[in-house]
Amino acid sequence: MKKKIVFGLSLLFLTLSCSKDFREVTPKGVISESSLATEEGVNLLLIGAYSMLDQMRTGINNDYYSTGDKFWFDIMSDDVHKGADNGDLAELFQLSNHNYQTNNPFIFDEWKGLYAGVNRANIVIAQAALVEGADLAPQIAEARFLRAHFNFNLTRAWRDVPLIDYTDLNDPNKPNDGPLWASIEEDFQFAIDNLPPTQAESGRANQWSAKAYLGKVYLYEHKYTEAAAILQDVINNGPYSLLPEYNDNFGEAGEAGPESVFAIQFQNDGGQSFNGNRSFLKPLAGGPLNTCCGFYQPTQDLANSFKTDESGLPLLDTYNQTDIKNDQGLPSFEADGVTPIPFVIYDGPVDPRLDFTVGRRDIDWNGFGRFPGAAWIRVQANGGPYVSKKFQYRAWDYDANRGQFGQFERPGIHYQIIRYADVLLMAAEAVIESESNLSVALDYVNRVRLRAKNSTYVPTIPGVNPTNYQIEPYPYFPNAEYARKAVRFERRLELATEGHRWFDLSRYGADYYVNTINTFFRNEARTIRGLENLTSPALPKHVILPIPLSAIDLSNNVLHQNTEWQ
Amino acid sequence: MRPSIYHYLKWRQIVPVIFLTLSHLMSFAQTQRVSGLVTGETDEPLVGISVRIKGGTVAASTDAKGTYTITAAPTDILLFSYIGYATQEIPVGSQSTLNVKLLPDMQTLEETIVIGYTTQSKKLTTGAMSQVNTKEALATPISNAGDALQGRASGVNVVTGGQPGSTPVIRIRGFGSTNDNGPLYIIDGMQITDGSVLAQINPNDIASMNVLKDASAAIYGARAANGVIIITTKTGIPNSKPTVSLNSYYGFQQVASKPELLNSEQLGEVFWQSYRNDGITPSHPQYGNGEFPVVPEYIRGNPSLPYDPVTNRLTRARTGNNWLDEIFHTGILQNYDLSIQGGGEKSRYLVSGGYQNREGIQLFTGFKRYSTRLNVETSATDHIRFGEHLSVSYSDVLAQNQVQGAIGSSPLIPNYDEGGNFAGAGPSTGAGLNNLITPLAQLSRGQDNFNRSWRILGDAYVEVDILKDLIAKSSFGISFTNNFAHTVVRQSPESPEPVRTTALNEIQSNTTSWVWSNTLRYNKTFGDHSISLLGGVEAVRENLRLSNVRIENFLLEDADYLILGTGANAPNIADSRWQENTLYSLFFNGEYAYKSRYLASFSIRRDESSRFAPGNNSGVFPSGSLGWILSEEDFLKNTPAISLLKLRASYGQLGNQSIPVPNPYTNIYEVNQEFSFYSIQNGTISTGSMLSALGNPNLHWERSQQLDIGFDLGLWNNRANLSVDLYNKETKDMIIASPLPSTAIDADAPYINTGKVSNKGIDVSLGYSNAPETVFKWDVSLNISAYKNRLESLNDNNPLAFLSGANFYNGIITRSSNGQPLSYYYGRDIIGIFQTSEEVAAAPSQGFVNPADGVGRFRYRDVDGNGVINDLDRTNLGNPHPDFVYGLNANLAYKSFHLTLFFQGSQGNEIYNFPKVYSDFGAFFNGDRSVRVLDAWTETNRDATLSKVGVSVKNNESAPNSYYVENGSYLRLKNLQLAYDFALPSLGVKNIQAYIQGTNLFTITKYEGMDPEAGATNGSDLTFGVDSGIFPLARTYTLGLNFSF
Repeated sequence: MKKKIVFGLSLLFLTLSCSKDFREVTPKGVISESSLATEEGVNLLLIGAYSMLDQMRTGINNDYYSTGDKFWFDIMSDDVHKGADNGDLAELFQLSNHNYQTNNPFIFDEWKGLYAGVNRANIVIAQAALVEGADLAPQIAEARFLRAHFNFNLTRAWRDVPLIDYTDLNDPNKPNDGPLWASIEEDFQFAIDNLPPTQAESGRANQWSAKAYLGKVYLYEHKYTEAAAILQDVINNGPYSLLPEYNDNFGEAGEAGPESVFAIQFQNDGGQSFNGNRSFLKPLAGGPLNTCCGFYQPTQDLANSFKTDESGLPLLDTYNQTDIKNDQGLPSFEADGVTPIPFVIYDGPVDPRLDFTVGRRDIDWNGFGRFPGAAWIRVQANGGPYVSKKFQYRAWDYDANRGQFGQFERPGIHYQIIRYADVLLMAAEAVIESESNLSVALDYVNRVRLRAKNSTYVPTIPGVNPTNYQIEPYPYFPNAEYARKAVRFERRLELATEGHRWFDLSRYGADYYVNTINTFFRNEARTIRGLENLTSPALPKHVILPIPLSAIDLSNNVLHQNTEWQ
Repeated sequence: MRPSIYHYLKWRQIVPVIFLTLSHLMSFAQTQRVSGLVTGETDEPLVGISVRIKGGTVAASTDAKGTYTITAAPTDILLFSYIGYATQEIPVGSQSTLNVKLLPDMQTLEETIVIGYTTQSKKLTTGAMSQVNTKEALATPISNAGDALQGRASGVNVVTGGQPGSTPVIRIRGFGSTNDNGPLYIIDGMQITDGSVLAQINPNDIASMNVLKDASAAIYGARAANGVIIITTKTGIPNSKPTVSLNSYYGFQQVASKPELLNSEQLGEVFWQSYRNDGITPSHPQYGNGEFPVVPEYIRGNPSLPYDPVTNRLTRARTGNNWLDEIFHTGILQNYDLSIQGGGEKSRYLVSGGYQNREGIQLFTGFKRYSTRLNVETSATDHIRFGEHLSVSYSDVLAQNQVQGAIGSSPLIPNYDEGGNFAGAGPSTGAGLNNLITPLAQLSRGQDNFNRSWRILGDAYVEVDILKDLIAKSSFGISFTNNFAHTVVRQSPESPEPVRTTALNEIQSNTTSWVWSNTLRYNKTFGDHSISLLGGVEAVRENLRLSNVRIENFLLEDADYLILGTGANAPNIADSRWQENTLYSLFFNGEYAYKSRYLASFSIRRDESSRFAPGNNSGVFPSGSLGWILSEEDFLKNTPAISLLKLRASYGQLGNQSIPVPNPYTNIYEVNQEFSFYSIQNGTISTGSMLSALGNPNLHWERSQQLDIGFDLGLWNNRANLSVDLYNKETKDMIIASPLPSTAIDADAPYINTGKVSNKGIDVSLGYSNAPETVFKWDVSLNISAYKNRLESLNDNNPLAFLSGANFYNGIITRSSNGQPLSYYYGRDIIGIFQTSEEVAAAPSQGFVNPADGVGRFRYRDVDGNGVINDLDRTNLGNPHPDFVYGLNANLAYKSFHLTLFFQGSQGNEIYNFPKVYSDFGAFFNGDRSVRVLDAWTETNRDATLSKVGVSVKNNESAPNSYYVENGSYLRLKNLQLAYDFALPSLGVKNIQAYIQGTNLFTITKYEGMDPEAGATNGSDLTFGVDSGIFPLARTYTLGLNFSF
């Protein structure tokens, strides 16, 4: 009997004595909040914030919905068609055609990616505040630079967006009361005041990149005087210069080079290339590297804009009256393996940057040889006869950059958020708008043009008629209106397919935007059949994006729709 | 029937009997000591049987071995009674040994029910429970024991899945939470919250399934708020010869119904109509550009050249490749179970082995399970018993679903090109065919994938009689699962977006959990009072380790070549986890019965969970219940028609702490190759870290309180019975991981306590069986369950607050807000189709650039009445909660023939048919369409159901709206079985049953999707009711043969 009682009691005792160790379980495989409140911890979180430059947040629905390189904003502009099959990514086609709705998934994931970035930067700032005995101002400055970058992208796309500060981590549901210009300026100013002029690591923000970025912000705010001052400071005193070869900006040669002011440093690490460009839908369909997916095709309108007159100047007003000859509807060169299809390439004068930007029939495509036409295009009838060339693989360096994941390419080609040519053109615009200093503007524009002129042109394929490349500096700007037009045109030529065009059109004003896009839809139908009926007319509301419907829903209606979109 | 007393008397016993009789006569004159053994129907000793002298006060009861001793006079009559057994009256006479065999009283009263930590006579229970007739339920060809609950247990909603190996969604009494609504499973001595365990238990091993629905579950406190399902497995019978049973069935299964799609000719016409509607001259890369679409003979390649696998695949277009026809086939289903059970004097045992192989109705899907079980119980001494249950099973699941792909693929694409390769649109040559890889190619390429699991599940216990009425028990249960999932992404050269490198994903995980329960039980009857007390201590620990490794770039694609080491690229650890949590509990339960008719019970449990921060980590959950058996009262006792009338009421608090993460109270930071590393220096990758989950130190138990009032009525010897329960269940401080605002960091949302949800409902079950002595026997049982689910409040500070469900490609479909049921559909309400531009102009503005654009398009209701239709005009479009669900089971027997019919249904629920975004609106323009588009609006078809077709989706038609919401009611013949019983004594076979059976033979429904049983929640009950292209249930035909000898 005693034994049995002892048995019973000892069982009870054993379980009653369950220790604190049993009842409390510490998390495994994670970093504690306290160990991150050190300089090392803040540095780790800062890398985590830079990692959001590509806007690949955890839980993203599709890698290509959110975009560090702004590729789908180009697709909304007159520079680029969506490409591929019309039914493939129908939501992107709707953006391209201006008949998208507030529930468009691209718009929502872009928004979420940018806010993830804002908050990653906020965490750095919040954690740095907990560290004692170390001067973390440089880290905070970099974080604030990044936050300003994300807030700038939010503001320029949606205008009325909520401000999420580092104290809002646990309560990020804030009303969208307006553009964040004040906060963006403040953050960049803090960065300018606290960052070193140069950094040992090429991807970090520094004082000069902060100044250039602040200049860009001023330009978007139409604060031309401030923009002119700070951009000219960068030009006159900063460490940047134009690369001798225009084309080096879009491949290995220009990475972290003197023209790169601030870039997303994509990297094609082995395995799954997590640090490659994961929203990259641009590559050829098939083609020399057998790539997927053939989105993002330059427009006929863009190709036409590279036409020049005999003196090597662009046709500012008349460029789109006739088309550069294309091979739309023609079978590919040697498509059947037997007969070459006769195609005579356009022999009028063109800016040499055409063939660094637009891949077209019978011209060398990035060192991979003769572009054959439809065979390397997903669906020519839908996307047109052209493919893109910038930030694409090049035959001479593709080994260094190619990253693959399933059907997708994740290349390690850096994307230039701001390059020095952009700084020159922004400065030109600022001096024209602020002080009508046409000669300084002329100088900046011509520096850009001369670099293009003096670059090595795309070599002619043997047996193909040579292209008539003509490019010359502007002799003078007769008046501010002409200068403005010339600078805007130059931005398009120099920076085409680099993610700027839609934002430029939008900041030039609703009238400019509506007129440009609707003219483009009309003209482009000459090349792509039925385009005018697939598209909806651009309206003034299209200069900003609607606040994503799901964002409003998730906010419990704390967010409200932008007035134009109500 | 009275046993013959003399039968038990053997001459060897006479001497001691005489001796004893004499001695008793000497000491007590007219009294004598009488002792004996009380056994049950199968000679098992019965414990706790009350032995009384009729008309007197002297009483005794049988001990653990079933023996009793009582002092009685020879003229006395002994009464042997026990709840559930027919009372026997035996005159003492001159005997001193009286062995008695008690026979069960009436069928329903014999039942004992396994409740928390012990068993109880069903008659004396005061809680609301649903016991499943396992004999009927498990006779159907199911893979997952959870399927057996469907329609058979009132108050339990079960939505089964068609995917072989899938786990049904089981919800007890509505949705008490917005978090995890899954019940707690008790399998013998083991507790598990992971519903997938039921896929790894052989249904044939199950002896009983009992569902605790109300506060009677409170003995399981912290984890009981969603109900408790108690499963006990079979065991042997002491002192019986081994019985060998072989159950087997073989059959096949097919898809029950398929939505109709357009053939390629019709699709071409729809394209032409789409172009014309949008003002575009018709022209399609495949259908030409004539006045009428022409179905092409070839979609790729040049038929005048010889076949070339690389440049010139010849791919003949077939008219009308219906991909839904191509992905379904007839699957073979087979199942064999062998069991041996029996027992010796002190022990009993069951050994079983089972094999099931179920081919899915979609190509290359299936489920295989091998299972074994060993259950042994033994009495080591008079006072010590021990036993164990052990099941080891292995399952192999191949899960794939291409329903959505079959709808989205072009009917022009054939299965194969002329070289025998999978056909596809091909890079840059097959325009107008969509970018999907064909569903056939997808399924075929996945055929070597697998998800293999070993699970060891069992418990061992020892039980010691410390005192006569005090029993201590210690039970240790374990569950160990090893899971190995192997998924290959193969190259797809025929695709317009080809995969160029082979990739392999391998997930290895080990899940271990153990439960150690120690209880003390005290049972005592004092005259009319009987009490039963139970106290216990319990510890639970759960542990998960998981690694998910992915490698790309393999030289070969042979299934046998693909192991992680043969991949060329650097390995990547896509996920790795190590999670642990513990639960430590003290509990007490007391039952009291007066005169076996006034019943009361009380439970209290204190739980301490590692999932919450110290300070919030403990919770106390009390409950109590009362019962009154009116039929035992004098005023009813003489009403022969009423055999049982019991009133019951219970009230209690229960908890819920089921959160899929172990440490929700603290922020979790991690280094993540994929999302926090960056190349800060050109050419290198730097390590970074990120916040991956937000914590909430204030998180505490979710609490629900439940009131239940019910009665049980049995008539005519319980041939007819009726049980009705009314309940009100309120959950407050719901634990929610509500999606974060879109302006938040990209971390997992914190779990918070908020809001209050109520479920009010009624469970009814009734049954009738005809007189047992007739040749033609029949019985029928019906159960109906209804609940009203309502989110009472979400956030007291913001009455307009709501919760959003999952974000679909076209936005958020479901919403949960104050005063509404959980997960209602939210979108625009269609009130018609515009017929003229005047009508458009006069109606509230829908944003058409000019009124003519609106003709033939949906007209939406102006919910806010402001004359503009926009996102603010979205409204509640219906919800997935049924008005009621029901099950009807009928058994008919004539001589050796048995016929079983089982109907099951759901009434009044709505389903959101998400695949319509593809099949009706052409979100993939070049994909196939439903035949519903033939009734789209045109000038000549003005009373259309669908707005006019177009090249792109306009007028917000792809966004959630009432067109997608359909009546989800259905009535289904779940099972029909015809069996014949016979014996072959010459071969020693005691019993043979042969049967034919069909399941899901017909369904009456208006739902137009694949299957109205579409309740998959995609992991969250906030998205309940959305059909995202589910794997439909199969129609099954089986032939079965059961032997025992």
